[in-house]
Amino acid sequence: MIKDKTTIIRTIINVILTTLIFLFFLKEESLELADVLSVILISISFSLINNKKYGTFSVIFLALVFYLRPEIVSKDELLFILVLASSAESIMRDSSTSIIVGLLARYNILLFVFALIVMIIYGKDKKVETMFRIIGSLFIAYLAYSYDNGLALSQLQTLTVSIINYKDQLLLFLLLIPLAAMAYVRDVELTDAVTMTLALIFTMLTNSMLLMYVAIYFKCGHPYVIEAIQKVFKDTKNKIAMKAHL
Amino acid sequence: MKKWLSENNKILLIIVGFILILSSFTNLDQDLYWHLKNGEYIINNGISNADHFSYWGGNFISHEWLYDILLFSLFKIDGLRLIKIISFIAIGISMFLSFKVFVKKSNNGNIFINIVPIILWATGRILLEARPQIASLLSFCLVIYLLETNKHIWSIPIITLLIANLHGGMSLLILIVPVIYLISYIFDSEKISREYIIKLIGIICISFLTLGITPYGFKNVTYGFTMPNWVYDRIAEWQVIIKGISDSWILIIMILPLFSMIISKKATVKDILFFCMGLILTFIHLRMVLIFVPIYIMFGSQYLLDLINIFRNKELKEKKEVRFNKIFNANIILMVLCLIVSYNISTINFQRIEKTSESSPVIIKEYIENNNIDIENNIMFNEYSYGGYFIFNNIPVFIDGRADVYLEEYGNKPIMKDYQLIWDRDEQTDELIKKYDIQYWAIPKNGDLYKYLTQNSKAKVLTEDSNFAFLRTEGGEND
Repeated sequence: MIKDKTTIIRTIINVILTTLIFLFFLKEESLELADVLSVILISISFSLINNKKYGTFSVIFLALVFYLRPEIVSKDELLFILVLASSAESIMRDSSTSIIVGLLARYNILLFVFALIVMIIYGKDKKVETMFRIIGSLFIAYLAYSYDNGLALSQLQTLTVSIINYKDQLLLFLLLIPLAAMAYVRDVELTDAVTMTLALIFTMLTNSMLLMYVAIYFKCGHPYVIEAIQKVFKDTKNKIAMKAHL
Repeated sequence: MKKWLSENNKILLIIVGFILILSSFTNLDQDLYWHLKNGEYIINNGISNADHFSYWGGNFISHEWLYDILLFSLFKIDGLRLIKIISFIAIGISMFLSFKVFVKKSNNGNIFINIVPIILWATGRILLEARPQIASLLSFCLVIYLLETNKHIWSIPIITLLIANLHGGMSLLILIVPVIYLISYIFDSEKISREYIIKLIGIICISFLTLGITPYGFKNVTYGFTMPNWVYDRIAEWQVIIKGISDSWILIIMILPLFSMIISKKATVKDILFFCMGLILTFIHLRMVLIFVPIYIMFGSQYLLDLINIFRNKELKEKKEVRFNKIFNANIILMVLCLIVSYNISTINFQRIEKTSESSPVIIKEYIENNNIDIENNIMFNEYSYGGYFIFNNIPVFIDGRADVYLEEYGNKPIMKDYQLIWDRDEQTDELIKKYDIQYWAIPKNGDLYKYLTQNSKAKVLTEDSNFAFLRTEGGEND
């Protein structure tokens, strides 16, 4: 996970930047120490997903999402965000997250379904283990639902889509960038392609998946966006050089 | 001819089948009627900057003036039937051109894969009726066909000139097509000569200039950018296409080619740009599904075939693997799919744009004529969609489908805003009824406004049928 000095420094910078972005958009009247500590924990979770070369630039994506949807950053949602961020990181690291995934069902059924699918995608090399984790998650989800009557499936009816009207053009553009970059770059891991596409589908269906989308972007999308940008410059330079030569 | 038919028989078969299905359930759009009236007016009086069909006067940019003239000319020959036939022919040609491009780009791939995008047209069936958008659809497909086959590309400026006058609002989209081709030549490995690039740049520049050759100059093309944003929220076809969980099937169909492009590992910049442009436009405005389907056919479907082939090859390799793996994967995928499908199957709504009626308010028109109601001097409040029909029958309207005539942003009275307040039965409704001195109401029967007026004794029913009602305000004329 964190292997060398450069990665450690990169991760620390990411944590600081991500924390600052969270705190900037978290415009609450009273911010207690517990809130700040929660934000730092969230930032660590996000940053652990994102400790690669040029990874720091991915916080721009996070900042843009918050700028376009400031309402998703709220003190009341901090615990939810923490569960989300840690589950995203854990699922994609080693799929050992039955309890966390199960708990997601308490907050958002679509998110729970998505997390299950990601668990399958990343656990396909350890099929028996993954099957037990899925069963464990379903059991935890059942308990979470049963406690305090949980949130019913009717929650699906009240989900708000991410793209509500014409004003969301920029957000839509942002959501499509990783997939377009992957198509352009061509050399893409199947797990990244499947996860990113599923994340887009689920995020389009519900606003509450936006932060999960950012987490998935950090892990599965950002390297390809950087590669696509580098490829654009390289291709342009080559074409110009070729024309000049002719 | 025989050779041409045998080469294109599959394409023609699908198109004929589609048109037969289409003809069985499309109706003529109510806006068609004001287009006809406007066409008649222009032929008799020339192009005007003023509105002559509502109670209010005001400014009116006839940005589809050429379409209106053509429409009225067809109507004079053989009425609405000929208009419907010509529209279907135009849609058929558009589909033909799209399929030809698909066959070329996919190296004779199975064209039946395109049933997938065509299903999307079911979400906006109303868009396939006789509207100026059909001209835009045809032009869009034609320009792409010409660029793909590199035939007669010098005709592109003529096409943009025509579209600027047939359907001004969409002409910029037609211009974007050669621009995307130009951009893609920089990044794709396709070998293109410098001379061709210069020719294309020249065509783009000339096409841009032709957009200004209209009775209103460039205003004919740019008027849409000054439309206030709140109007988009009110008109169904300008709203987003994905509104909730029950639209997940539409979303999956739309995203699938982009996923396939990634998996195939051979997507070109041109295909990515066109498809993403189509996605963004259609997600934001449902009405763009009209253009999205040919984009899907021409730039997306071939990758669906690649995706199918990849899975087929994978299956062959997996024959030697443990049976448990296949059962595990299949069961999990099946479980998730069942969850999604079983939830959605009862909530599939193909028609995203609800039609306010399946017919025209004939009963109201006849009542006005038979009872000699002085509708010119007594304001009649009508529902937005029926405005065209009343205009066609020389009945002045409170509002109709020409949104810009009723907006302050175009230098007119704020009729649209007040209409919306009345329609929503806002607390200002009584005040507005007095302000406009509304004497008559031509509204849907059993709608909320009908109930509000009748249950609160604000209006009395003069005549009605199962769809429409004509009411008179209580305490109004003849009371």
